[in-house]
Amino acid sequence: MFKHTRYLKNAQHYDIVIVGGGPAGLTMLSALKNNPKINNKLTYKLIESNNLSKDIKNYTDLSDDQFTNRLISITPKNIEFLTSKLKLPLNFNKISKFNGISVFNGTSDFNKARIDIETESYMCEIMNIVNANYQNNQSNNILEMTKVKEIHFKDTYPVLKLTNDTDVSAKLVIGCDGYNSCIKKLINNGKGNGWSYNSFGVVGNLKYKYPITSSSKGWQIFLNSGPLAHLPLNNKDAGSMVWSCNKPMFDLFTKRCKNGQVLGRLINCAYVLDKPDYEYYLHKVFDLYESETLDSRLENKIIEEMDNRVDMVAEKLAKINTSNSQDNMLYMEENYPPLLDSVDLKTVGGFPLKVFHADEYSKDRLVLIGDACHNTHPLAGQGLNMGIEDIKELTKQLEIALDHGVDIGNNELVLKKYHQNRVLENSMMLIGTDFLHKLFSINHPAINNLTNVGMNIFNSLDTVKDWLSFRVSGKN
Amino acid sequence: MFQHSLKLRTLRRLVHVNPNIGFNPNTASKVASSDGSSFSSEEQSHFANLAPTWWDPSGNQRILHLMNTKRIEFIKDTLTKKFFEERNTKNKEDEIYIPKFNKNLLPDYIKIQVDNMEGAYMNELFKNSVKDWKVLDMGCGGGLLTESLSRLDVFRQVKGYDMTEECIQVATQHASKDILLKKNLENESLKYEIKDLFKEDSVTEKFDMVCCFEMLEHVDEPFRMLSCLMERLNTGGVLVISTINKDLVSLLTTIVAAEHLLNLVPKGTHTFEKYINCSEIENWAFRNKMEVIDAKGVMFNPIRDEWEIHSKKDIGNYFISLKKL
Repeated sequence: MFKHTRYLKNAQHYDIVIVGGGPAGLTMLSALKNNPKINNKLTYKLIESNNLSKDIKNYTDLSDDQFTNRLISITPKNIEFLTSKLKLPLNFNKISKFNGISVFNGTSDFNKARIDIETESYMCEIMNIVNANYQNNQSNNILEMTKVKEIHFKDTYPVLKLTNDTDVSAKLVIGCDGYNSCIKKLINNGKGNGWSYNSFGVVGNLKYKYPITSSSKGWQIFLNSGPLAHLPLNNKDAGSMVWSCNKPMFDLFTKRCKNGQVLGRLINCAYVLDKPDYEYYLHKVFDLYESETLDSRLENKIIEEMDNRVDMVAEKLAKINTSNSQDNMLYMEENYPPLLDSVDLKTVGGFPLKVFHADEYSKDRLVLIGDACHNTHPLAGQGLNMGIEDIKELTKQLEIALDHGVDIGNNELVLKKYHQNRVLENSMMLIGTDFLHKLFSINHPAINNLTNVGMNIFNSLDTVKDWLSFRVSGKN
Repeated sequence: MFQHSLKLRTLRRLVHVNPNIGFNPNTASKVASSDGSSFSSEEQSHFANLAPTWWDPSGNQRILHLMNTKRIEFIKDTLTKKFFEERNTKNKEDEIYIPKFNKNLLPDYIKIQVDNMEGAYMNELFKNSVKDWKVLDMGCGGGLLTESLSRLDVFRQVKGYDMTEECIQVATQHASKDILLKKNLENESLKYEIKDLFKEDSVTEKFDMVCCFEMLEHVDEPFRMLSCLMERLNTGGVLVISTINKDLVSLLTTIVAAEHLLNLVPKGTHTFEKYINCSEIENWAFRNKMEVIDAKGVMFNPIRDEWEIHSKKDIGNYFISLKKL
């Protein structure tokens, strides 16, 4: 008893310690700060291993036309929460809003089926959110460049040993440190359901051939290797992609490919051409970068070939589907994504894709939010949105606990409620996303044609589409 | 608010005037245990056995832990109601304007603002009024309610009395493990004492609020206990009680279902003969010059895994709050 109290006196004590300063962790911090009941009564601190202020400096030095490559989609409901409830000073010059998304089925050989969903969404750089939160918290609640070495329980409170040789004890530790969370391992040994997709998400910034004139839209095509998303960055000539692909393609795009124009043209092919044609060019690109020495003449030839082929098919498509020459011009612009000039190779990067859902979100005095307890495929763009919903629910439960004089670290009375209220919605989102990914990755003609028919039927069911977009974005 | 005051007035009128039915013959005829304490020795040993598991929220006191939030909610509601009424009768100018139409008809964003303003006003009123209050939790057991009251950080002092030594030990030990409560223990804004009110000769200390939750049904002479508690109150002080109605529903829920079928509560916790009807307490209050502030029924909803407060005070468990005039 005595030993314990003496130990605690050496350690710095906070009511809440947040581990991990990603977008979820920092938003959690802002949510605590902007809740008057919590802010008046509790002390809190965030621990982050990276040099956050340096990253922020690098980001704020960029002009409004330069974008970092890690983007995330946020629903209108959550943007409203971030700006009006948490009062985050987001840089809206670098956030683009799009009004709808068109999904193609690229797995059938001919006649791509498509679904048009009218749903609002915002594309926002992760650094934009991080920066806004950092400005909002004035950094005195953040302890950066510090890692958690070890967590052990002394009687009732968890004590975190940090790399700067200090100890921190807390009533409640919130783990927001992503998939490899050190908090997760302490809760039920990190057990949960999930698997790796054996594929990678490749991200990169796109440069359009011609600036767009119509309102911006998001585009996604399901290829056999995984979905390829094509999203607007600003409403002029920049976009962003998330391409989930297998290991050989990942290596090709991130390591061997030396010319961004080849990659850009390949994306054009994926959207406009039929599947056999696209696969033909994909193989050609593989062959091009097979050898160590690079033949720039061959490179240019392929680019030209792909351009010609895309132009030809586009012309043909426009002629078949429209009656007069006026519509002819607009057809491609309205129904297909803007053609690309190139991909900015400096921004190309990748990460392994997986789905995971922790069995338990919490234990006495420990709780997980965001990617620490659920990881998802980026195809629905719901990763951070689920995290923000977690944050709302957890702050609500903490507020109720404070109102009723309950210990905020109590699992049974406080943290379990948060788990109960979030687990169903999170698992529905994860299962839905996983199902879509599985459905389109089956490479069998019969299944592919079936999905094609299914998508066409789905596209005509307006009520179902409205319901879905309501579920996903929270607004009609 | 307007509706509330209406309801209260009708409620006051409904209180029975027949003073004879106020006394429970079953409990009155029973002789208190030989040493003159309020608890029989069986009850004492039962709670002494429970003491070690008291603070395990997933253990056999789980249901009591869940009820705790509703107790606090009821206490807050009842006090706010009292203060609001007192203020309104004191000076008419300070009265906030309450529209005579349904708030729900307003557009959402205005309704939220009205709710927020009202909530903030009430909260402020509550906080300012109880700043100097001394609160007694009679029969605190492991200190569930005592700790919550202390953690709210609005009262000047919170005291927990229990006559089982083991319980007080557990309560003190548990509170000293919490950083905030340990501080409160040190500066005596939280205090636990072993005390049997029946053995006390003179009233040494008076309180502004006395809580007595889930305890009357374990006492041999509940009305003598109530009188003891009333003596401890300052004029204008509040007595908050919760116990169980003596009806079929209570028998089925608290004993048959909770103890024998679902194992929510340790066997032998309740004795049906000791239950007290809400009307009996209201009668007692009437005869002893106390005013009913609020009375609410409360029931456990196993589907939502929560207690729910409802308006049927004559069925099952109930909360009642009285004001000493």
